[in-house]
This record gives sequence, structure tokens and C-alpha cells, in this order.
Amino acid sequence: MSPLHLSFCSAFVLSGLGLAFHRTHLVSALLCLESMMLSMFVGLTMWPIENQTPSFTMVPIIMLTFSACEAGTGLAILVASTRTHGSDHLHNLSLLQC
Amino acid sequence: MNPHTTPVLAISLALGTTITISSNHWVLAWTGLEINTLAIIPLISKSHHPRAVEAATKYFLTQAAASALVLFSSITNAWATGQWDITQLNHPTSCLLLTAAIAIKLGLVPFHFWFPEVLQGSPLMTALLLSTLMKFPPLTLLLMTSKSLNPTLLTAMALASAALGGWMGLNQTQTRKILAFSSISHLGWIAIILVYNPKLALLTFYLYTIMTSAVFMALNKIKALNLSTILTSWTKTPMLNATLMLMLLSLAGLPPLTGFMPKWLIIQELIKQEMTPAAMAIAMLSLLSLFFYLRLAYHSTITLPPNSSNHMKQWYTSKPPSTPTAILASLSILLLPLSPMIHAIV
Amino acid sequence: MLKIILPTVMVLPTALLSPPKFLWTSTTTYSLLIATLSLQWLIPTYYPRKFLSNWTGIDQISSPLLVLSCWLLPLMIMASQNHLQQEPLSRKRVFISTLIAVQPFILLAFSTTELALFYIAFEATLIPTLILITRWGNQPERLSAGTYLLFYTLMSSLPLLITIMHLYVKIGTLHLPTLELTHPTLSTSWTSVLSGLALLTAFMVKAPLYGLHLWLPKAHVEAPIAGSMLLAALLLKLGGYGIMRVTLLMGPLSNLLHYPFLTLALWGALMTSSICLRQTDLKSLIAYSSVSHMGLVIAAGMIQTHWSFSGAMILMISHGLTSSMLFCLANTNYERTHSRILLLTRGLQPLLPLMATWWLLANLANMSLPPTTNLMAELTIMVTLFNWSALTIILTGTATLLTASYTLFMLLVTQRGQIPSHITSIQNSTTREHLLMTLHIIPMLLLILKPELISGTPL
Repeated sequence: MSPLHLSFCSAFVLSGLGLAFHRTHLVSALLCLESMMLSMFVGLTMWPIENQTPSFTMVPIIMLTFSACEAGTGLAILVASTRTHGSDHLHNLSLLQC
Repeated sequence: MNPHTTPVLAISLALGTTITISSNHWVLAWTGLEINTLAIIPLISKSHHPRAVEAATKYFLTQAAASALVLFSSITNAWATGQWDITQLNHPTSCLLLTAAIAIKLGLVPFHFWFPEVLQGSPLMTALLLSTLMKFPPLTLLLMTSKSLNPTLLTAMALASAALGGWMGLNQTQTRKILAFSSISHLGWIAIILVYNPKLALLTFYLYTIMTSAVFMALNKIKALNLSTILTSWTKTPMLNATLMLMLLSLAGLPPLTGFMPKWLIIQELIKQEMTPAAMAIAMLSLLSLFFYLRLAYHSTITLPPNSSNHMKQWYTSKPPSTPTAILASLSILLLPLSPMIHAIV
Repeated sequence: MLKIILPTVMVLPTALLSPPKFLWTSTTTYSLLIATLSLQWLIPTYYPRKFLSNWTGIDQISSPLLVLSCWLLPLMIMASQNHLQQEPLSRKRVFISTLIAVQPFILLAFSTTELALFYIAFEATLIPTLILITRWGNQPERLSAGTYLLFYTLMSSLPLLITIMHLYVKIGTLHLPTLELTHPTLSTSWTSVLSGLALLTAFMVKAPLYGLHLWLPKAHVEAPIAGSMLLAALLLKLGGYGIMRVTLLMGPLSNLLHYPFLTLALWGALMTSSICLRQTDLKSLIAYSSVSHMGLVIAAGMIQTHWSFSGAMILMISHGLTSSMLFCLANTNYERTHSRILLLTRGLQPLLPLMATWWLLANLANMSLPPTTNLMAELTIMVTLFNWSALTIILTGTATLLTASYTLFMLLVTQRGQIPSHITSIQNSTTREHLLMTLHIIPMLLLILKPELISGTPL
């Protein structure tokens, strides 16, 4: 495992763990999601360089586009849930629990 | 909502599903999944009700995390093997990651907590979409990689799904939650056969889609969101209620209704694979979910007067149930005699 | 086979479409016609199976049961006329069609030669029965009775399904005549013992064996009259029939399977007879007497000799007619007094003298007095059991004694003694009810003239 590979993998895993275990604010969850996406962006950009496949260089851009859309949707949901629930605390989202 | 929005969302849903099920490249499949997620969120949160927004938030967080995991597993695989082909998922870590990601997307048992809550927060028709159409793309990914998945892990998850889906549905009174747990236990049946006979898993999914759509559409027709509404709905559409009972029993898998066919074929296949204890376990666990289907069935038509109730009676609506409901209902009741043909087609 | 099954299916449109005035007449006549046609199945042949087609075939074991089930459909329709009188027309139609919907499945289950089809038909009788009990019963407890019925049956029959599939994977066919030709594996491995257990348990629950019988009295008590007749006369016989089919398939049983079932069956015959002695609920009493009679059938089925099979066959047919008639009689009382409690329905003989005759005849048949086939059946079964082990005569003898005593108890309590003060006026018994009883008693009395029609293997 190269240092580069290690670094983006650990970035992904750490932000995933943050998403899974640090459940206080919706903003922090969205930030964790975004950093997962960014670490994968690093992975996707480094892969064509490592393997000398220039035809693949478009893919990280596509991925970044979609992650930007996703982040936008996340922010919209943040606004909506703050308006309906009063704050962005994740433990406020308990109307539907079994 | 702007009237032009709905067609856009519908087309996006169709587009996302089509992209994922027809793609061969991991990034494209991920793109389809993302389009699907982004398109369904406005449909869930359409009503601006706090519950709807909460459902949308929960759905968004789980789905975004799951699709990030899908992409990460494919990147891991590509770094290790240089392959972006979906069917060439060979790296063991990425196989595990993918199983977990798809399990989150589908709502298989250790990752099932979001599913009933999201279904409870969304309208009935969106709930139908969530439990059928939105499960199709992840399922196709699982089918395409089925050769390299870990059978033991999938069997364990499937048994746990069948058990917990039946167990947790027992004390629910909300129809959408009951149907969510029924979906979880049906996913258990799909997942247990996935590695051994992917075609059969697909057939099970199709039949589940037919049956659950019929039930959702019937419930939508009588506007029944909880058991007590079903109890008083027999005055609205008596025939539909009688059919609803049969559809529910079909979903439970009683012969001679359609729902018995997938159970029968899956049990046969499992025994062929020398997995008789697993077949026994999942068959017995399906009795748990039979209990809540039976309660729904009792409520739908069997507890008519002479038992009087204090609820306000609802009267006949002039509009008859729609043609798709009728077609789906008859399909979900009467398909068992055709099972050799259906098995041959799929 | 289709000659009878298709007309039976076609009674459904008759029930749904016939003009209201002729609803009962046309369905009863039509089904009686079918019952008459079905008598051709009783013709003896030289070949082991009659009317053999790809998936169905009738042999000596199935033909009496088939004719019995065809015979009981018009009787069930006739019996439920009165309690549906107040219902609107559409509900009457739905009730009759539910009743008719069971019939093709029962016919299929008795006549099929394919084990998977047998399983499907066996299970398919559940849904209409469930609807009959839970929709048309009277008390709120009917829901729990329905749940008991469904879960007892399914809990035991899912292992049956898995074993059938196991047989299919191992042998490659589920065709019964072919399966009988394959040598049963005589190994005492746990697999064969467990699969034997699974094959038998489903039918033991349906029959029902003592210990697995709790669903039956509940279902009987809650069911409307047609449901009770259906359960007692046909569905229990499905269990006995399954035991006879499946034991033929398994070859000689190991003692591991023999002893528990035989013990439970004989001990259960004793226990349920004693329960009958202290029973206060008329329908429950008749239900427990069914359990005790079916215990003898199960014991005979486990012995697996020619004599025991013919005894079991004769007992199943005669018990089907007798218990169905007893339920009809109980229902005539219930419709007049609106109570099943024996304390409240005493001494009806002065009020309904002709009914008392039917009560006497039915009870005499139930305690198996001479010229009934019940006696012949019980004697045959007792002889085979005695031949298997001399000690069983104690159990069977006591059971017979107890049967006679509780039947006499039932007869005396319902017919003789003081009329309770709350019964002041009562409806006369109608011609329909007398016809119903006559149609039950005639085959019972006639069959003793030619018992080889129902004795399974030709004696």
C-alpha cells in the first residue's frame, strides 16, 4: 500500500467514522460526507496518474459534479429541517421512531 | 410544488435506474444511484411536514453514505486490480465494503433502521417507490457481483433480516411501518438465494414488487395509514377490501396464492445446495411475518359487523378502483398455477 | 377427475349469479348432482388406480374420501340456510362461494398423485377455512381460533414442505406411484428419522393427534355449522389420508417414530374421552370426541398392515358422517336456544320429538353399536392393535367404554329430563333439517351392507 493510497483511504475511513459516531449536528454530518467525497476525489485523480490512463481523467470531474449536487441537496435539507425542527441537532429528528 | 417538477423527477428516477441497471462501469453505476437519490428526495419532502423533512434527511444521509461506500469499494478494487468492470470485483476488502454499502441501500438487517422511519414519513405512493423501484438498482449491482460475494455473510444477513423483519413488525399499528418490515423480511428471502441462483432472486424481487404494489395501491385507495382506518374502510370499497385480504395472505406466502411461488422455489434451491437448515430457519421465520399480515387481513375484511365499532363509518366513493390496481391485484393472487412458465421466462 | 372438479368450480358462478329466489335451490341441486356423479368412483377395478391421468389418480384409499367430500358439499349448503337468513343477499352469495371454494382443493388433495400438488392443495384449504371461521363465526374469540388454526397447521407443514423438497432433490420425482416403487431407505440415520418425523407431524396436527389438537376444539366452537362440518368431516380426514399415504412411502417405521405417536394416539383417545365426560359445551364435546376417534385412526395408520388400513378407512368415513351429523344436530339446538351450553339445552325431547330420534340414531352410531360401520371399523382397529401388542387392549377397551359413556351422557342430557324453565316456546323442526339428517344417516346405514366400498384394500 503506497503512502498516497494509505492517506486517502484513511481520510475516507476517518470521515466515515465521524459520520457514523459523531451524531450531534446535521452540518457536521454533511461536512463528513463532503470530506468522504473529497478523499475519493483524490483517489480518483491519482489513479490515472499511477496507471497512465489519460482517458480516465474526466471521471473525477464527473464525480466532483455529482458530489457538489449532493452537497447542495444536503444544504437544502439542512435549511428545511432547521425550519421545521428548530435546530440542526440530529437528535431532534425523532418524530418517526418506532 | 411546480407542476413541471413532477415529470422532471419521474424522468430522473427512470434515468437513474436505467443508468445503474445497464451500466458496466462502477462510476456510471454510482452516477445512476446518485441521480436516483437526488430525484426521490423532493418526492419524500414534498409536503413540508416535519415528518416528511425528517424522513428526507434520514434517507439522504444513509443513501449518500452508502453510495460513497459503493464508490470507495470500487476505487479500492481499482487500485488493487486495475479493473473498473462491475462483474470483476475481485478484491476481498472491496467485496465486503460493497456488501455493506448495498445492505445499507436496501435496508438489510444490521443496516435496516432507516427504512421503516423513512417509509413512515413519506406519502404512500412514494413509500411504494422507495420499497420497490429504489431497491432495484442496488439489487442489480448485487446480482452482477454475486459471484464474488461471501455466501456465509449474505446468508447470515438474510436470516437476520427475515427474523427481525418479522419480529419488529409484530407490534406495529402503522400500515407503512408494517409494510416496511415486510419489505425487510422479503429482502431476507432475496438475499439468501442471491449467491446460489441470481435469476431466482430477481424473480422473487419481481413478484414481491407486484404484490407489494398491489397492497400499497389498495391502501392508497382506501387512504389507510393505520390499522383502525382499515377497520372502518370496508364501507368504502367492500370488494377491494376482500381482495386486500387475499393480497396480504399472498404477501405472507400462503399457497395457492402467488406469494408461495418464490418461497417454494427458494426452498427447493436451498435444499439443492445442501442448505436444509437455512431453508428450515427462513421458512419458520416467515411465520413471524405471517402473524402481522394475518392481523392486517383480519382488520381489512374479517372483523365486519356483528362487531360494532365506535368509529365514524365512511361511505362508498363513486370512483371504482383503478385498472392498474385491479391488474396488480389479480396478478398477486392468481399467478401460482403459471409458475413453471414464469420460472422459464425469467 | 376434471369431470367432477370443473363442475365443482362452476358451482361458484352459479352461487354468484343465480337469481335470489333460487340461490339455495340451485346450488344445493347442482352440488347434489355432482355428488351423485361422483359415486362412479366407487366402482371397484382390477387395476391399482382408477381414472389415472398425468397428475391425478384414484385408488381404494382415496375414492371413499372423495365421494364423502362430494357428498358433504350439498349437506353443508343445506345446513347453513337458517343462520344466513337475516344476512343480505351478497353476503349469502359470498358465504356459499367460500364454502364451494374449498371443494376443488379438497378433491385435488385426495386425488393427486404428485406430492407437491398434494402439499399445495392441502395448504390451500386453509384460507377458505380461515375465512369461514373468522368471518362467519359469532364470538370475538373466533379471531384467536383462526390464528390457532393457521399457525398450528403452518408450523407443522413447513417442515413437510422442506422434506418434500428434500425427497425431490434426493430421488428426482414426487410422483407417488413411482415413489412407492423406490426402495425406502432403511437407514436409521438422523436425517431419515427427522424427515419421517417432519412428514408425519404435519398430518398428525391436521388429524389431530392428542397434544397437537388444541386448535381443533377452538375452531369447532367458533365456526359456523358449515365450517364445523367441513373441519370434522373432511379436513381431519386429510390428515388421516396423509398419514396413510406417507407411511406407505417411508416403509417400515423405526421404533423411534412408532412409539411416541402410537402412545400419544391411544392415550389421547382415552384422555379426550374423559375430557368429554366433563365437558359443558356441546360443540366442544363433539370436537373432543372427534379427536378421540381420530386417535384410533392415527394408531391404525401407524401400524401399517392391510387390516389396520382398512379399519382406518372405514372409521374415517363413518366418523365423517357421524360427527358431521352430530354437529348438525348441535346446530339445530343452537339455532333454537342460542346456546351451546349443555346445562341450558336440556330435555328437548318433549319439544322436538322427531329430532330426538335423530339424536338417538346419531349417538348410537357414535358409540358404534351394531349395524353401523363404526363398529366394524373399531373392531378391526382394535384387532390390529391387539395383534401388534396385546397390552393395547386395555387402552382401546377403556376408550370404547368411555366413548359409550360420554355419548350416553350427551344423549341423556340433551334429550331427557326436565325442560329448563327458560325454554318456553321453541320453533318446530323443519323439513330441511330432517332431510339433512336423513341424508347423513342413509349412507351410514347402507354402507354396512357393502363395506368393501370404503374399506380401502378390498377385503
